[in-house]
Amino acid sequence: MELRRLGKSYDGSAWALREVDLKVASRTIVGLIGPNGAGKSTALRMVATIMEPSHGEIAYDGRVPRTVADHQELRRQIGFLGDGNPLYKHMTPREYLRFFGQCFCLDDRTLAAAIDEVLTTFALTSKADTVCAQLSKGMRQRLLIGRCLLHQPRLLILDEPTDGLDPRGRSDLRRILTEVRARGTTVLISSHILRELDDLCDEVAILQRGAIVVCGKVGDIIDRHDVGRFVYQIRLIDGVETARTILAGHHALVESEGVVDGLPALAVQWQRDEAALADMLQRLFENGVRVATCARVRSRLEDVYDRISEDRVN
Amino acid sequence: MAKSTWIRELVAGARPFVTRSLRGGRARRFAALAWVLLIVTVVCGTWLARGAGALERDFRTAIGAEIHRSLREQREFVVFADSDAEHAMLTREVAQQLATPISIENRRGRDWIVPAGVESLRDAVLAAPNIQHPNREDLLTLQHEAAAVLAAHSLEVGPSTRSGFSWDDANDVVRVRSIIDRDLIPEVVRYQSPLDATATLGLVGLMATLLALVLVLVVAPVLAGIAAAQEAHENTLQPLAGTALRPRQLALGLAIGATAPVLILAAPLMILGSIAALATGGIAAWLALVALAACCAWALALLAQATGLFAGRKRTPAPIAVSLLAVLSTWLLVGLATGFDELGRDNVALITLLPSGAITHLARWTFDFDAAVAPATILLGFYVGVAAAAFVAILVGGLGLLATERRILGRYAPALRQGEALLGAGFLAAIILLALSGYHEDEFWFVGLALLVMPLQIFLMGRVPHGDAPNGTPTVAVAALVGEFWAMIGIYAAIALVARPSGWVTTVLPSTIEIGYALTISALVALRVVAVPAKLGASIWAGFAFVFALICFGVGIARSGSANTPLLVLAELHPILGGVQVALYVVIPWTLITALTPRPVAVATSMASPP
Repeated sequence: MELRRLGKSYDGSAWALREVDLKVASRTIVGLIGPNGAGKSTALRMVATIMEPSHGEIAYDGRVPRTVADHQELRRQIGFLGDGNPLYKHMTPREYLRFFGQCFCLDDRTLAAAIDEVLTTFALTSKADTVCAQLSKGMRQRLLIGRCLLHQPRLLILDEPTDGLDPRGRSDLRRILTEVRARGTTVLISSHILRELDDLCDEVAILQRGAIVVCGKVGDIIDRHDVGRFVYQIRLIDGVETARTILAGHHALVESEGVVDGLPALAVQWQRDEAALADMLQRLFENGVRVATCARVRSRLEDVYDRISEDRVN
Repeated sequence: MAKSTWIRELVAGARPFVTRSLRGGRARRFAALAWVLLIVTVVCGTWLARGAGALERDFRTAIGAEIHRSLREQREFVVFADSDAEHAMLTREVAQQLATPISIENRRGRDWIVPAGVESLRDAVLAAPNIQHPNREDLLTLQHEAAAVLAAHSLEVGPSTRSGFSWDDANDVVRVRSIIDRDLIPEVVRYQSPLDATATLGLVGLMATLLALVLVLVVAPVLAGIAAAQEAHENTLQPLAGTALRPRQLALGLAIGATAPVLILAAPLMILGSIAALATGGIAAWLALVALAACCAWALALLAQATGLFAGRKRTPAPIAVSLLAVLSTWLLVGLATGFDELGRDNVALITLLPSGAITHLARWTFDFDAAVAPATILLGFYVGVAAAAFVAILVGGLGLLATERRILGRYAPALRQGEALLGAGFLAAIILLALSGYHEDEFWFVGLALLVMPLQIFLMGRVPHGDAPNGTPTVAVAALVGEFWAMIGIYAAIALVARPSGWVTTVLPSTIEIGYALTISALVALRVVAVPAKLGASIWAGFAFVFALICFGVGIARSGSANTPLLVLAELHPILGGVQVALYVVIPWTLITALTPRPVAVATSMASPP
């Protein structure tokens, strides 16, 4: 899938999305990251063919849909979960899935099998005949995501899918998305919570004010932007209190403390050069602090985002 | 091939929504309810058709199935008794009246029946049949027979009475015939419904049809509106837009699904109606009725659905349902009232604007409950009006469907395109002018315009973009949209000019300005209501502005008829009020335009660097 100079204006006076170029390879998970109002939902709706671009085009398998029939045919291959998570609360999960399966024109036999599979995959079998109003928020969210997979789409688009999911649900979602990718489905997912995406996505694109500011493989992006952040992890055998005092005297900020591989560890922000770092380490030795290791911590996607973004996100 | 594809797509679109409506055993429950409704209709219909009680008799009289009892007694020269005891009492009274006839002045209750019969015979003898009457010879024979009966009972002929007898009145002739046949002795009979088996079936068919019409023309559109409002209110349309169904399939599917339960309830009633129509020989009128009702149901359901979609974002389904129910019930009730009036030159035009009246007339004709046959010219006008109403209903329903299609996708766009709004306005103008064709007053042009203003406001509302826009108030092209409103009025003026070349526009300049001002304010109010979220105070102000526009419109019309109408009407009451009027002339458009003025958008970047 390829977004070519994609732009969207709702009122002709301002761009909600502009000049967006993005290539999404088949069988990959691509994350769209950005703060609220950056244009993620607008972009995903256009990819899902339910919103027309004001400018540019989107090619699927190298072909740009032009007619209503093209869009209709394309939608059969797309599963789209928009924002807002609307659900018919008076229907049971089985009825809800049947309804959407019929909206995708599945025949009765295929639909029945697909419903059973989704209910099993998303652990909803025991609640299949309970009205949605009585389901927990996490169950509802699982049902919504399951609805998108009912017709076995080639492209799965999820806008903020982790809303309402507990840690276990998020973990399950990652597992499911990995399985979906393995089955050959391309996944386009958006979130403003970076930690949810950095180790799930093959590629990410960061949106700011309607434009893509960074795009590529997660590792490449971190490598490209891994500058300016100097955090060192110091593992100590003993002398933690002394070390903390000495570090404070050298204007080093202790970001966090913990235990790494059985030893107490300090994450230290060090803004000065490495010679000064060596001096500081020598002071530690001189004061009886036994340092096991001292290593620079590699930046995370969140750090990169913080560096390049104008708006801080979660 | 194309047709089968169209049907296949319709079925594919309706399948999920109908399944949803009838899920979990609902289909069986609705089918059972339909049978109950049918049985209740048959039982009630038969009771009303055959019952001898006052309630049943009044009902039959009200719908024209039976003539009034006293009129029947006069025509048939009988006395009806409601019980055996009353029968015996009346028999004695009649015998007593024959023995000692009381004077006409002293008549009480049914004491008058014999004296009145005597008077009718006397008048028949004294009055001369019209010399040009086609059956004059027969009437003369009857006159001789009347004289013979009087003579046989030793009753004198004169003097003339005040019964208003006329040989030209068929009822009077029938009455005289009955009196002669009964030899001045009225028969006392137990009252029974005059409806035979066929007429009974006709009345049952009429009830079934009216009930089905209530279901299809009121309940079904309300349900369509509620369903759409619920989808909009709970934001459940977006997932549907992402499915394999096209917007048109979704729009039609939503409407069919919401109304499916009603169709299950109405179907047996309509079948019963068609059987009754076959029995009463009114199948042609029945088919016309079904066709017109289908067109109206199409229009009402899709308009209600569009209303639900547009209003559902801001309002819960309950107030929308109440509003729809109130409007549709009023529409149907006014139509029923119109439909049970005799068809005449005065009301035939109203039927064009109010198809529910035409449907009621057709129902009466179908089941033979319309004694008077309208003249051919009126009938022609009626059927032209029915055809025009059906056409406009199809057109309006189509516009409702288009608006719904566009709204379902949630795209930020107007519900109607410019051409569609102008086309709709043109047809509506034509139909209003057709309905007013019998109106010959000087204000013809203004009456049509007044009728047209609110529909034009709705068309204008449909031209304001709506949809999923991000935060911030999108701009409204006020000048362009007001221009479109004036283009619609221009279309009306052009058609009016063709329909009525003279007297179609005022020559008094202040009148023209005032009416123009009122129309412009109407347009701004429509834009204000639909384009900008309004709080209570703003809504009240918009309502006040519209009332002020209506007053200006009325003053403008008055000014067109008289150049002496003062420039500031309120100043005639008090100078301060005149000042208030001037202030309102300025403040109202200023506040409306200010509310519609583009505001800074909160989204993204400016358009300074287009791609």
